[in-house]
Amino acid sequence: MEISSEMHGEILALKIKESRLDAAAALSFKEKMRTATASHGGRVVIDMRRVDFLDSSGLGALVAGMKMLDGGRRLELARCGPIVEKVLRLTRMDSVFVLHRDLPWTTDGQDAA
Amino acid sequence: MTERTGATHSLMGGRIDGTLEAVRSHLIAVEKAAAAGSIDESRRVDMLIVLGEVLNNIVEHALADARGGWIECRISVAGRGLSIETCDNGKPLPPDLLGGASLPDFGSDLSDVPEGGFGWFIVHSLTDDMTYERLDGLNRLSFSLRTKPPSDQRQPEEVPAT
Repeated sequence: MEISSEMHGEILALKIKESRLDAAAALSFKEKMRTATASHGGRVVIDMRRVDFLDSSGLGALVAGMKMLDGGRRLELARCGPIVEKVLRLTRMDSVFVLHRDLPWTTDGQDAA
Repeated sequence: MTERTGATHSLMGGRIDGTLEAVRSHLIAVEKAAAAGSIDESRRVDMLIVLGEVLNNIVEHALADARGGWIECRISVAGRGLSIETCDNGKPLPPDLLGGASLPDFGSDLSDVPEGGFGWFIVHSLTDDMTYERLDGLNRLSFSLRTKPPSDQRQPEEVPAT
């Protein structure tokens, strides 16, 4: 699992560079998340653009990633595809993560409707 | 080529190794076959989500620690209907796995949001006629994709406070 990381103002922007966040990738994702978010106290947005498949293990890894953020911060997910969106909606996790249709630093932080 | 109406035909069938990596490769192959077979996007999405959960569950529960584990998987199309059968040589599937169709408790705080327990809920949300048989040392699952998932009529629920 490869994740890139950059800062946009106060936002830590992570990008998943692989197409599947699934049971086979979940553990590696969690490790990468822990390293990437360790020294950051602000907003964390994951660009999901390349992820075309998410399963319940991948979803669990996203939840685990959110819990690594202290201070009750919600993990933010941008540009989710149809499968990711469907899994989030079915499990009602769309109400737990903050979802963005676009990258928030390009749209003044507007949330997806 | 797919037939537009009428007879049932097989979209895909075959045997895979009982590993998460093999499941992943199989899903990629199924996605290609479904796209080539004119399965529309919303059904393709549902099918791939369900298939991923079912196959991963078999690997993680029935075939955990097994050597030489395999899963056979057959997908059939009849009109707009999609039916799926699996067979594996693993341990019997736990009965609570097959019955549990409710969402895990979200708790009242972000730190209580569950990290697991979603898989079989997802499967039951998107399928009908789930049957499980244990026969001759093999697990057999058979189910069809629900044509109109209930997620569209869901009730709003409490969410954890920020």
